[in-house]
Amino acid sequence: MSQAFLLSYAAWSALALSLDRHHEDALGRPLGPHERWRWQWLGWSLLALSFGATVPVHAHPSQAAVLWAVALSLSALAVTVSLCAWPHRARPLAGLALVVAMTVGLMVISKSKEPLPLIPPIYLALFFEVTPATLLAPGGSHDSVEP
Amino acid sequence: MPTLTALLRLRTALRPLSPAPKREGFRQAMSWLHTWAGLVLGWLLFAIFLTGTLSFFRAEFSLWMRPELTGLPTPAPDLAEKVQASLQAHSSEVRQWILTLPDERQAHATLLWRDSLQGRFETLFLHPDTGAVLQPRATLGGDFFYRFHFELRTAQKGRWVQEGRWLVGGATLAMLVALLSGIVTHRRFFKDFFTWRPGKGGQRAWLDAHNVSGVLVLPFYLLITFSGLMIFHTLYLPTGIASTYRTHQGGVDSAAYLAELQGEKPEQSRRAQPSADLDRPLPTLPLTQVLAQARLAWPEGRVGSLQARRDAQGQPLIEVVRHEGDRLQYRPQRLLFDGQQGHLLQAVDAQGPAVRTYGVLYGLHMARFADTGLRWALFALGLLGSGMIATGLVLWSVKRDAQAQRKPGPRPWGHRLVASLNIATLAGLPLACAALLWANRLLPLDTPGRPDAELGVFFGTWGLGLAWALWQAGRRGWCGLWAANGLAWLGLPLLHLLTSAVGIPAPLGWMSLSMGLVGTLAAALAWRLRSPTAHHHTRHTPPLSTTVEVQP
Repeated sequence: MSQAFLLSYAAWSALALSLDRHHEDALGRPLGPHERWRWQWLGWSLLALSFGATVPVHAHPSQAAVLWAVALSLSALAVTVSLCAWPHRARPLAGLALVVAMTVGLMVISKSKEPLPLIPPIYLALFFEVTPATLLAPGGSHDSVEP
Repeated sequence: MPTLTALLRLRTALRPLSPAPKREGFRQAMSWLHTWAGLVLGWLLFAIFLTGTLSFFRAEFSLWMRPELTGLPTPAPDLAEKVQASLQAHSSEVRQWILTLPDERQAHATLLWRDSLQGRFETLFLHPDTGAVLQPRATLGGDFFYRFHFELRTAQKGRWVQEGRWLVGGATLAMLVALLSGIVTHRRFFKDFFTWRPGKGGQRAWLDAHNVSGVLVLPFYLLITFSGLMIFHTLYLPTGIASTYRTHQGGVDSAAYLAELQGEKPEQSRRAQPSADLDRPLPTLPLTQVLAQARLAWPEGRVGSLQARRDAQGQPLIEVVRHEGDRLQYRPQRLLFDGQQGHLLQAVDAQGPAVRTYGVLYGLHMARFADTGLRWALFALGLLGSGMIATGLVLWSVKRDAQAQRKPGPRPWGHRLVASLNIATLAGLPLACAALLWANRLLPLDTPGRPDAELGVFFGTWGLGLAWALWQAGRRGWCGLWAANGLAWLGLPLLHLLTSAVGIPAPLGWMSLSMGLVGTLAAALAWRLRSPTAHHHTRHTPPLSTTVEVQP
């Protein structure tokens, strides 16, 4: 459940960042045409991945589907609330969710305690600019500009 | 005739303030449908949705309301045999019994038995180790929320059960209509996904909240509403069954339909010639042998319950029912055993694609399969659904109050009535639930008709809430009832500590802690509503969104 939740949280965040209003709120600059496509691509593939993550956890795919649907709704709500409360942190929060989900997932898959599986998540963290500075930056909440 | 006049007056009072355009588009028509389907049955829908949400924790509420049943040991492996022995020692006339075994949510066993084929079942709570009869307080427990949710039960032995089911069915249909028309009405939201701006205040904030809680959880609402309608298809749509399933005499054989729905072979349940053996007491049944076979048949499954009765030929029969939480599909698998030799007669399970679809939808509605985490997640979705209905109802008022601000004159009485009913339902129902829990702990244990006395407190409190809301239809009404909610719910953990009975201080438990959390939230809400500056939904404040043209 937590795996699916984290991955779909990242997915919904990416899809939110592909929308003009949220992109501008979160990153402070307008959305370019190529960027939109990239965020959408990332979002939809993460959504697919989040479903994939629920399947091996459950004996029966029907239960996985239920779990995924519930996680999908709850994570979309979480994204909405966090976009409202801390629009600036949309990208690092999504990255954090993704990194945690990937780390746990890779450790489960590789069944090892070695640090090797941690390397891809670190790349991801760099891509999403997940740092204490971006996560804890002041001035999170602000009034969005009405179009 | 006075009714007609009142209806006409109601229509005038509720008429939208702006005149309708001459030619209505599809979206306007849907918007109208959404508004009125939602408003007329919204209060009932809120009550159904909220009690249904509480019913996800039906077993836990039952346990909280019967503190005598806490702290029981793990069940004995031969519990069924012990129960059978003590039942036979108690009565030699046992015709039928159903034993529900303990599981992780319910530590005690429950036995329903009767000594005549037409009589009522007696319900007993049993010690999981010894099988001895436990004597908890008389209460409906969590079953009240469950029963109210689908039949508006008002008493332990409710009289208007079928009527209640029809009413709930009508409301559910209205919910489905409101959901589908709402998709058209609020279609703009799909462009503004994830948008919630509580800082904007007024109508805009309420609309955002309604949209967010509506759209993001839409799959759950559609599922729960549609499956809710389907569960009672035999009641709402009996004609198809009546035309296909007929007895030899030409009457309707609904028993055959229900048997087939559960995967039984149709000829088994037919009672062509009632056997003389049918009405004889049950002999001693080989339960240990039967249970061992059932465990072999379901290596990864749990046994949920055991039933003993005579079949149509009068032969004793043992039914082993798998635990309801073992799969999504509702009506679990069953194994039928011969009651004398103990050999397997038949494995019963619904197989057809339509029946299985129905079973899965049923199972998704009941959520017996959910573990603790998923149960809480579904509970959250249920709360959001209640919130969606609540914000929709409040939005109706806020919108009209904002429009009325621009025109002088008193508030139309229809608007005032809606505001009162909003307060009485949205804040009054939670208060009534808290009152029920208080009554459960405080009413003397020897009160005659104790379960009904508890319900009396529930409906009495709700009625008082309505009276208060009719008197105070503005901010003061909201604030007062939320403050009462805060006090009542915050007091419950304390009450639990003080009254958990039989001399043993029970641990606080997450049920009581959650009640405390509800109380804290309600108190915070009341605190926010206390002064005219911190507000969102009163008519005394100028709408903050006058510059923004709000579209639904």
